[in-house]
Amino acid sequence: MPTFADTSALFALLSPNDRHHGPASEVARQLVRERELIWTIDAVIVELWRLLRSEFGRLQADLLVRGLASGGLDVQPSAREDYAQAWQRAVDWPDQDFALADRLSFAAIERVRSYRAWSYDADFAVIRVGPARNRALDVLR
Amino acid sequence: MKSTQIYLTEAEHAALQRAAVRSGVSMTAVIRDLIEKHLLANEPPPTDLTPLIGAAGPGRPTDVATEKQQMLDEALYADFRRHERPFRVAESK
Repeated sequence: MPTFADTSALFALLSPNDRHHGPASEVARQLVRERELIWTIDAVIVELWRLLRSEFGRLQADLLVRGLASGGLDVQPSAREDYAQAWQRAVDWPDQDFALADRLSFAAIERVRSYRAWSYDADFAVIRVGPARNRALDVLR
Repeated sequence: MKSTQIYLTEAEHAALQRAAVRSGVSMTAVIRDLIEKHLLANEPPPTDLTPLIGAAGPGRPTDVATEKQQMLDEALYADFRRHERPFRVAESK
């Protein structure tokens, strides 16, 4: 089953001083053993690049993001309907402060109906998807 | 797991059954083992990010899982400061 990767997972994998670097490294190895496709969306890549540039500089950020693509990370564009879903999520979950990139991620996951996500962000454990909005994501940590 | 149906000759079926008995596993397990050894072993995984483990260099301690928004705000503020033009006071004559 393809596995969605969010910003927290990819950053933790790349940065040895991130709190979740150890578990992220192990998940990356596990997904190779399982021969899983890892995918994400444009918004996550932009968010990740901004964080990497801030911490390590622009050249490093470019190299690292290009490296992810070379490693077979599948980066999908957000569909028009994903934005409609993202705005709706803010209405449906008024007590949650989901970032736009996260809401677009949830919408893409729901659209492709592939519910496995690699993330250390608590929002990915909180969100419910599916037609009845009662399905938790299968979160890899 | 996905289910599939295959048709085997008598000889193939007998060979599969013998292999399963010999190894003490099911015929399904024998088929999956053969696929693993003969098909998947030669095929690269669709995604392999392991060469990038820790590739970002040491950096400062972070916890992006909980501090992402704060870090993004800091990055935005740093950008703003970097591009901020010094306030110019018009020279009085």
